[in-house]
Amino acid sequence: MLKIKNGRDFIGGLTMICVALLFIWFGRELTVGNSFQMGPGYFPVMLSILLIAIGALIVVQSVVVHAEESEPDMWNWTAFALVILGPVGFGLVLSGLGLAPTMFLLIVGVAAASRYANWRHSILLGLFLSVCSVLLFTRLLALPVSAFGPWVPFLGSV
Amino acid sequence: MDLFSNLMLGASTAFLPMNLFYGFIGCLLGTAIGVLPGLGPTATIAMLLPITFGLPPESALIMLAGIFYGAQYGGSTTAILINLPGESSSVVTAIDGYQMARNGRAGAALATAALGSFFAGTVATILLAMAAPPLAAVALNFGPAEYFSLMVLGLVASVALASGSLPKAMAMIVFGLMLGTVGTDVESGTPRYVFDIPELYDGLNFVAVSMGIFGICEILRNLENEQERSVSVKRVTGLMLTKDDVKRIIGPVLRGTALGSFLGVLPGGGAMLASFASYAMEKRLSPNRAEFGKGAIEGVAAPESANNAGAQTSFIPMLTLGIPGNPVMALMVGAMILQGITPGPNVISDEPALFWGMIVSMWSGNLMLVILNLPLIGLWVRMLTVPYHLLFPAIIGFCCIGAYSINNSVFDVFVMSGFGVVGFILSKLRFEPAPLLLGFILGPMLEENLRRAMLISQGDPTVFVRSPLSLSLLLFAAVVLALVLAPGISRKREEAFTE
Amino acid sequence: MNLKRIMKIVAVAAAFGASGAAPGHAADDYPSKTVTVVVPFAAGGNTDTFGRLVAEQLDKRLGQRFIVENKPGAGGNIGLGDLARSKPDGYTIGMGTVSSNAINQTLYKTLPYSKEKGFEPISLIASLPNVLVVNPDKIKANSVEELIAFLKAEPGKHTYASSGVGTSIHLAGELMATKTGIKMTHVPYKGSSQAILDVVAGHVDMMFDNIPTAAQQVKAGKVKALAVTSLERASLLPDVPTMASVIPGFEATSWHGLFAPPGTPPEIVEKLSKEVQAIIADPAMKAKLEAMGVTPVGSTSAEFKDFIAKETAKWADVIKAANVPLQ
Repeated sequence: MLKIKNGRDFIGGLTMICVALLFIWFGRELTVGNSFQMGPGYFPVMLSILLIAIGALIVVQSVVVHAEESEPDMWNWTAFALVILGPVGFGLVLSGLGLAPTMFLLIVGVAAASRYANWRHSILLGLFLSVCSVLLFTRLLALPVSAFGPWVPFLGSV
Repeated sequence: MDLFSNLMLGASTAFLPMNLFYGFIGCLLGTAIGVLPGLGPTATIAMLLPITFGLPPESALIMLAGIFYGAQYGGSTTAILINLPGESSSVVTAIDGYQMARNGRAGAALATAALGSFFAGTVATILLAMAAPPLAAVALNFGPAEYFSLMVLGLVASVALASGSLPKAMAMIVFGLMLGTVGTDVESGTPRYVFDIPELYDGLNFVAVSMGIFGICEILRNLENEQERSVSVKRVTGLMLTKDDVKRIIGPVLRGTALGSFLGVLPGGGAMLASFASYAMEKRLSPNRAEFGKGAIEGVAAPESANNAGAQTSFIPMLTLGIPGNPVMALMVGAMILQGITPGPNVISDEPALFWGMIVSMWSGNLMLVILNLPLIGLWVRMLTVPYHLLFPAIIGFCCIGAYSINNSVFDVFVMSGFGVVGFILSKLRFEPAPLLLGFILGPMLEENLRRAMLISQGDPTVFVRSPLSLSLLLFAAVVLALVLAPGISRKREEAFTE
Repeated sequence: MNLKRIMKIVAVAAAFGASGAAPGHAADDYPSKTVTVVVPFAAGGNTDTFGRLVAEQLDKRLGQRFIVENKPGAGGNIGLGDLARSKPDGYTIGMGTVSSNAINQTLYKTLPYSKEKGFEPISLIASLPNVLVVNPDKIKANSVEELIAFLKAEPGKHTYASSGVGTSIHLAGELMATKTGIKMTHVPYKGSSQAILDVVAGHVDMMFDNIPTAAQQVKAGKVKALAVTSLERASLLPDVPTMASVIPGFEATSWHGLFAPPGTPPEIVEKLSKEVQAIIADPAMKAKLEAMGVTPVGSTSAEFKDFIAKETAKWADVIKAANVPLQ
C-alpha cells in the first residue's frame, strides 16, 4: 500500500474533489448545453470537472512528494466558536434590539475568545464601541438601523 | 480645444474655496470610511448621496469623487494593517502589505502606498486631461470577445500570485470561479445554487466573502497562537522610506501607473485587473522576487499605483461617453441626473466648467490625500500597538456593520461568518485565499463575456481569434502561462528525480 | 441628551397611545412619527431618485420625517418582501416599479410575499418611456417600418441588448418580436449601461433603453432613435415617433409608484395618495421631472390599482408568448 507523505495535501485534494461533486450535485437540474450553445449549467459543470482533476493531482502529489516542514497547528475551539457565532448572533438580534445593545453584546461576547480577556476591559470596550457606532452609523451615516430596537422597553423605536 | 486654457478653466472651478472645501470633506470622509472594514466607496457614496442634493453640481461631484478615491486609499490601509482588503483592488496589496506590517514595516508600506498612489494619480489625471476621448475609443473596441480574452489573461496572471504549490493555487482559482456562478445566470435568467434564498439571486457579495476569508479568518488564526502573535509583530521600525526603499519602488510605481492608466479605462473591473496584473508582472521582473509574499515593498508599490491610476482613468468612460464603468460611477451618474445634468458624449462641450473642474479637482484631491495621510501613518501604526485582545473585537464589530451596510441586510453578515469558516478550513489545508478571491471576481465576467460572444457570433468560436485584439490577448496569455508553468514543471521533475 | 431622551420616550408613548386607542381615526393624526420609505433598489437609480424626491416633499407637507431605506436585491423582491412583512400602519411604505410589481408576479415562481394579497397601491408617481435605438452602422433603417422589413429579410441574424432577462427593457423587445413576428437574438447584460455601451460600439445592433441616458447618445449621434415606447411622444426627443403609431397599442414604459403593505387602513392610503397627487401636480416638481425626461403622473389609488392589473396581465402574456424561463 502507498504511504501518504503529505497528509494535509491529501485531505486538501479530497476536499476539492468533494466541493466539485457538491457543485455537480446541486447543479444537476441546470441545463448544460454544449460548447456552442452553453446553458446555465455548462460553466459550473466544466469547472467542477476541472477542479476534480486538480484535486486528483494534489492527491497524487501528496502521495509522492514529501511535505515541507511546517509548524504544528493548535486548535482553539472556544475562540473559533465565539468569533464565528458572534456575527451570526449580531445578525439575528440586530433588528430586534437595535444597534447599541447588539454591538455591546457582540463585543463582550467575542472578546471572551482571547486568553487575555478580562470582563472589566470587555465591558468598557463594548460600551465605548456601541456609543461610537451609534454616533457614526445611525447619526452621521444614516444607516437604516435604530440605536434601540422594538425589543428594548421605553427606549426602543421601530 | 487648448489644453492650457481648459486647465485654467478647470482650476478656476476646482480652486474655488467652496469646492476645495467640499473636495477636502470628501477626501476626509472617504479616508475615514475606507479604513472601517467593509465600508467601501459604493456604500459610502450611496449613504451620503442625499447630502449632495443641496450643493451645486460641481461641488457635489467633486465631493463624491473625493469620497471615491479617499475610500480607495483607506481600503489599502486596512489591507496593510489588519489583512482586510475592503475593495477588490486592494486584495493584492494585502498579500505583501500585511507581511510588511508583521515585519514591523507598516509605516513604510503605508508611505509607499500613499506616495505611489499620488504619483499614479497625478500621471493618470494628466493623461485624462490630454487624451480622454481617444482612450474612450479604446474602451469601445473591447467587445465581449476581447473582454473574455482579457479575463483569460487575468486568470493566467493570477496563478502567479500564489507563492506556494501551483496545483493548489489553481484549485483555489477554480473554486473561486465556481463561487462566482452562484446567483441568477445573466444569459438565461436561471437561478443557480440559490436554494430559494432571495438574497442569493444577485450572487455572493464580494465584500462579505472577502471580509470572511481574509479578516475573520486572520483573527481566528491569530487567536490560535496568541502569545506567538504578540512577538511576531516586530517592533515598528522607521515610519518613512529608506533610500534603498525608494530605489526599489521607482520601477514598480512607473510600470504600475502605466498598466493601471490603460486598464482603468475599460469598464467593468479594469482597475481591479490592473492591480494584480501589475503585481504578477513585478513578481516576474523584480530582482527581489524571492521576497514576494513575505513582505516585498514592490508588492505594495506596484498594485497601489496601478489601482489608483485605474481609479482616475475609470472616470473616462463616464465623462466622455456618459456610460458608467463601475458601480461607483453609476452612483455618480445618478447624482448628476439629480442635479439636472445627464452625462453623455456631449458633456465636455456642454459643461466644460464641470468637466475640467472635475479633472483638476482629481489632482488637488490626490494632493490633499497625501497631505492628509502621511501624518496619519504614525497614528495607524500606533493602532497596531493596541493590545490585540482589545483590537480584534473592534475589528469584528466594524466588519459586522460593514457587511450589514452592503445591502442594509443581515444576510451578508451571515455570509461573512460562513466564509470565515471556509477561509479557516482552507488555511488549515494551506490553500492561499488571494487566488480564490480573484477567481471569484473574474468568474462572472469570464463566463458572461464568453457566452455573450458566442451568442452574438451565433455559436461561432472563431470570434475569439478573428479579432486581432482578442487574438493578441490570448497569445499573450499563452506565453504567460508557459512562463508560469515552466519553472514549476522543471522543479517537479527535479524533485521526482531526487526521489 | 437626557432631555432629548425623555422627549423621545414621551413621543413614542404618545404614538403608541394614539395608534392603539382609536384605529378608526388613524388617518386624522397620521403621521405622528417617522415614516420609512423602502426603496427595493440601490441608491442612485431611477426608483431611488423618485422615492427621495417624493419623500422630501411628504416630509415638508406632513411635518414628519420620511426616511428612505434602500433594500436592493433579487429584482426588488427583497425590499418588497420586507415591506409586506412590516406592520400595515402607514409607517412603512415603499416604492415599486413595473418590474417589481407587474413583471415579477409572472417571472418568479415564488416571491417572498403573497402574490394574492399584493400591496395597497398609493399612487403612480411617474413613468419613463423607453426608446428604441439602433447602431447606424449595423442597422440600415430610418424608421420602425424599415427596421421590421430589414429584420424580416434576415431572421435571427440581428441582436438586441437588454439590461437583463425579464426586465422591462428585455420584454419591450419581446413585445415587438411577438407583435410583428420578427426574429432577433436577445443579448442580456447586467444593467443597461454595459448594454448601451455595446450598442454604441456596434457589438450589439440595437436595444430599448430608458430615455434619459439614451437621449444623450442620440443627441451626440452615436445611435439612431427610431421610436419611443410611450403612447405619447417624449419631451426629450420630440421628433421621434411612437411605437404605437406603427404597432397599434404598443406601450412599454418603466413606471414607478408608491405602495403600502397589504392591510394598511384605507384612510391612510387615501391621505398619502392625495398628498402624492398634490406633490406631483406642483409645477416646480413637474418641471423637474420633465427635465429628467420623465412623465409625471400622480394617479389616485384606484386608478393605480387598475393600471397595475392591466400591466400585470400584459406582461404575463408577453412572458408566455416569448417563452421567457421562469425564475
